Amino acid sequence: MEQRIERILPKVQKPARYTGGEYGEIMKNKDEVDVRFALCFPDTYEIGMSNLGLRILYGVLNKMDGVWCERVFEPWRDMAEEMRKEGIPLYALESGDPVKDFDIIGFSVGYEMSYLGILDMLDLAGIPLRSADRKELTPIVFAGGTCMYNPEPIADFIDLAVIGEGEEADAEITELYRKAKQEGWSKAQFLNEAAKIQGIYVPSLYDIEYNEDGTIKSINPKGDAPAVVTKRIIENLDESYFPTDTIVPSTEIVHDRTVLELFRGCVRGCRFCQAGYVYRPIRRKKCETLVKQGIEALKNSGYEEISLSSLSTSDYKELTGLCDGLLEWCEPRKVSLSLPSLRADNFSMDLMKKVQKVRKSGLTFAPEAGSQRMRDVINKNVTEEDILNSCRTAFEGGWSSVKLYFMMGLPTETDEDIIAIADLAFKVLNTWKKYATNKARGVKITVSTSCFVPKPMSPFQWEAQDSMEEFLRKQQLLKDNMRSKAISYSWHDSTVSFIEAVLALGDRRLAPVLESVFKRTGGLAAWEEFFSEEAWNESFAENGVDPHFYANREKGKDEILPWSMISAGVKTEHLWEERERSRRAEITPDCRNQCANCGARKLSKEGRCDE
Amino acid sequence: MSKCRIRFEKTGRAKYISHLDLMRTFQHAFIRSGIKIKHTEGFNPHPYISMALPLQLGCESVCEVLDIQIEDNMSPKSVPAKLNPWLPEGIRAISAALPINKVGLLKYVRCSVTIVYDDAKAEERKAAVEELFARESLVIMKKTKRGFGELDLAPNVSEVSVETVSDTELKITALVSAVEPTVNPSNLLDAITQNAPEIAPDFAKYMRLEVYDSSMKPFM
Repeated sequence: MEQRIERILPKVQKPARYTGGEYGEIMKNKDEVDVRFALCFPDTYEIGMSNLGLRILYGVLNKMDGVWCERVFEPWRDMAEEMRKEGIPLYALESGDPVKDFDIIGFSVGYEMSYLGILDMLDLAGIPLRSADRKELTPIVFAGGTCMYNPEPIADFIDLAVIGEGEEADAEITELYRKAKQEGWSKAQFLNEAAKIQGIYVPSLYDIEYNEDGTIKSINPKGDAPAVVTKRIIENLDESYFPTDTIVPSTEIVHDRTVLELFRGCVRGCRFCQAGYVYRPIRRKKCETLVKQGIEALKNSGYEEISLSSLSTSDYKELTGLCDGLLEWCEPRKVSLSLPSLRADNFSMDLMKKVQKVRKSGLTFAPEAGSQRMRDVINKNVTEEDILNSCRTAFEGGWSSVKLYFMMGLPTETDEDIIAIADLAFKVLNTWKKYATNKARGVKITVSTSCFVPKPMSPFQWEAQDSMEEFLRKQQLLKDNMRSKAISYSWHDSTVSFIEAVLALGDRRLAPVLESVFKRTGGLAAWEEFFSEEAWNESFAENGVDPHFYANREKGKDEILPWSMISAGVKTEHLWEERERSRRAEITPDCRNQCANCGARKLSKEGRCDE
Repeated sequence: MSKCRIRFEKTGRAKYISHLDLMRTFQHAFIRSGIKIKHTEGFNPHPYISMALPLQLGCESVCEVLDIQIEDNMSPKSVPAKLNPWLPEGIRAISAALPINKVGLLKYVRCSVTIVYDDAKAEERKAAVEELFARESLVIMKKTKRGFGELDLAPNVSEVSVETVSDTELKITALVSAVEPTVNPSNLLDAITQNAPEIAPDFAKYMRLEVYDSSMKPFM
């Protein structure tokens, strides 16, 4: 390790985040490698190492001959300050080499609030922030991840974006880069070739024209860039790479366990949910693949917990068989099984007992809205009866703590819908009173509300977000209507949700705003302690950008949206149709009951979905 | 069931793994290795691991002591070879055997502090460092559970030697009290910075070299 780094480590918190050297880390001989890939996560080590996508890409890229992919995370404030003071540039964990000397710098961007992290990391690395200021082929800076369904707010900073699943596209970009480097291409030549690969969006190849009212007049592709970039998917998850041999951090991370991905996509079609639309079509892994990979990953890591992760885990068709298959191995070895995100309509005693076998944790349900009308608007096909029945099952099974998640500010929401949240929580409390088998322990019902953020590629992409004042009023209204001390209520800060909406729905005119905010606050914007409303307001004003134009304005059906050059495979007409149905509080059956013909199955060569 | 005491080293990048994280790292490594060890009781059982003397963050060591109980009929001697492939860089089991001493008998630690002077005038300061550690009283302010307290190092630090490693480095080796009071290698640096700030170094590196029982036999 470099002397200068060793000197600052004793001064910072949790230095093990900055050293590398964990079990399972991949080391290669620099002389036998011709492409150095810096896989960057614009948030802390603890968050980034908990990200399954990052681990998948790390494995995929390192399986390539002549490619060495290393990890880079955003340092905490104390470390970043020491590094800047000592002039130590951002380095990769495996080799300790400066990121600026790498060939490809790829960011995994899962949430809008990490955009400042990209700027922070580029700045720490000593790399110019703007793509236009990086004239040479090396390094190529790109981004992938869920946020790239609207890459526009960071369009000026990245050379290209990978839309959709990155396992194949990242490798193709890497191969193309290798060719470009060998043949001495210019950056422009490389980007023009890259734009021909499906799923690759090169922002500099699109000119955006605006109307006088600030809306987009036209999006004009140049060179070989396609008019619409369609996302990439992995067709067969059973055959694609899954990291069973992965890094085991030497310091505690957020999800310190084995994570198994059951399927991609979701059959439900909740209208607020971006993930539910952009991960279509539904592709599941076979039960036997999962049992095999799960056991292998547990053996290789030594973890004592395995989590079954997907958008709606309880919708996995062979869940019982999967749990049985895993538990047969896990139980005698005292390894516990956990299921996140249970749906309130198919939660069963049987399933509960399986999870309970090794360890019992709290239960979380997400009704998302309090009234049936509101749940129909968002197409959350769950009834009050479903929710109360699930709670009854839980209370009868000995659970005494239930968390209920709701959203505020959903389209067409009235005060009655807000008060209905309090009513529902009260009914859950009464269910406990009636059915709890162990009342001596008391009951804890936690209600949390988040602020609805309209997201690109969802049926609510045209919606306006509630104003901050309205959120505050609704939060107070709900608080005033809570009727029992056994029910506690917590809510999300609406300021952060407002900025999230601006960034989710924004366009490339936000680039100077991001730079201004970064200058004022630095990175780690997803962390409450570093978030500054003032800094955002000043930066919007300084750059003449009206944030309400993006967040609080309802968009017209025919308006060209900033992400109109991107396609997640779902037809825009389908999204609009769903929006219209929401206005009539009309539900759409889930994909298993009836295919809504959203268009996503065409992404699969055989036109398959959920088989 | 057999008790087993492992001697291991923690060097290089691994010195930044904290005590709690190290426990977890070993728990995972034992599971990976397939060595079956006794678990803790209770609702959330974990492999039972005990370390005689927690090591300060940032300090290297070639003499760490770890106690476990092996559940199957494996001989303690075969543990290092079976465990080492599953440990992260810098952590390596050196030997393992049935414990001889009770944990409470661990009394002394031999350690080294390598102090670095960027101006390459290490040799010039050697005499001053030697003089400092020869004093009859060497009081430092030390962080305790209840805030700051005074500790006189003189009666708890002995066999001090100072050696010139290079133009920039002096290596201080000493025998220090392990418990009641605990003297950490970094306390030797505190002695310099607090009592002779004029020879305070630019950087220091720490290493535990050996642990002893009350009769100065290596703790086994």
